[in-house]
Amino acid sequence: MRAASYDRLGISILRILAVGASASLAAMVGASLALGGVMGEGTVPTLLVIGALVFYIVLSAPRRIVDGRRLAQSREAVILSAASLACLNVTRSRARTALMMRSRDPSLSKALKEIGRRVLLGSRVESAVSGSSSGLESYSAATALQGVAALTSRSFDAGDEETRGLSASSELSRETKLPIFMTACLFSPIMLLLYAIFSRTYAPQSLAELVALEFIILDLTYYMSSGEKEAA
Amino acid sequence: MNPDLSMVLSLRRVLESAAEGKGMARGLIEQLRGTSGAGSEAARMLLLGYPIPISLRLLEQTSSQEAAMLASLIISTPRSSATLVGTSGKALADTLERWVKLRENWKLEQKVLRFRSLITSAVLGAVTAIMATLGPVVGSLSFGTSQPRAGDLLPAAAVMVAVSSLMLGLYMSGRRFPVNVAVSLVVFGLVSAIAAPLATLPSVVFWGVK
Repeated sequence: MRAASYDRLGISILRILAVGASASLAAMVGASLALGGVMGEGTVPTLLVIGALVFYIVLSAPRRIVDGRRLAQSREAVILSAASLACLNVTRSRARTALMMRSRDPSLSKALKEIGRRVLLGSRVESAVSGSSSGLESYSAATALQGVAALTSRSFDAGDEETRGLSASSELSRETKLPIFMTACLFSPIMLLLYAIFSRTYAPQSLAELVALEFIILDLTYYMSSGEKEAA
Repeated sequence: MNPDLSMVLSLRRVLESAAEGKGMARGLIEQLRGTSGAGSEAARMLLLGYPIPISLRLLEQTSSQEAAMLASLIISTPRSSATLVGTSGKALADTLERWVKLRENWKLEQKVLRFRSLITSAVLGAVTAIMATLGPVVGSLSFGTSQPRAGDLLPAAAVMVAVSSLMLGLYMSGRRFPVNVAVSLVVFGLVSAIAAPLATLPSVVFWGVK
């Protein structure tokens, strides 16, 4: 899925690995400056964990983008199906229907413009639609466009089903991540305070470094947990 | 009734009347005239003679996603047929109505989550305050070493609580995160004030007790 999302966005794996590695290195350097020596012998493992989490966040960013686009497109596919159905019934022309379709979703609108451009340049509607719909993330949006090319009447159930499926999946994912995030928020200050008490860390600078560590932990957990927040 | 659902139902009735052969503009004026905001503005513009795409532009931009989708379908009418748009739009309105109801349920769940996050913030404030107040006393029970003052940890603990409740609020309450921060800090202050006398009790010399 991740490799597919890189292909969708036109990102090479080597490039995303390089970006991830440099981001994780930068995060490790920044964290080492922020933490100072407050963690003692635990500094190196802490920095490694921070680097690994940043690496994962960077590598999973394309998948999150694709998931978000897929949901938006599947919602828009419903209206696209209904509008194209009405338009097709009136005009009985695939080319005119392809030219008349509009969408509020940016990527779907871009695909429709590309289809319109190809049709105006003289391409067959089937080839114009198949070329552009393959770049869409949502299968129901692609099906809605292909329905125009096939001149068939269809319902918009596919978009509804896909939207409901994606919403249910994001809801389940959220149900998993929510307790993790709550646990991190609840226990990280408690654990860091316990560390300060038992290691007798009472200097203001060391305590500020512990606060910085807490912020880093919660910030990373927030980014890892908030992938599907927008889906609902 | 939920304004989004009300708008979807109004637009659905417009599509139903269009499917029966009545004019789209007439249906829009009949259904939107009594509403408020973008709906009444659209009806007013239609009565002034503006075409449907211009009249419904505000409705498409400002209303909920589902109502905006129905509005964009109605806007597509001049490019096709009002009757056919009405026929295909009726079934679409059912789907969108279901989506609005699902979102309404989701909002109710969000309310529960917000309450849960407030409780968590309060618990976090209380536990952290106890630890910051009494922790140094408990942690320095080795004889001969200098005891740290109980208040040394309090400012750092307060900042930690604020950061945690801020993140929790951002995740679960969205824009209402300051409420989480306020709740946790108020509870933190109260509990640390209650626990402070315990941290200042004179220490007992155990080897003098018979």
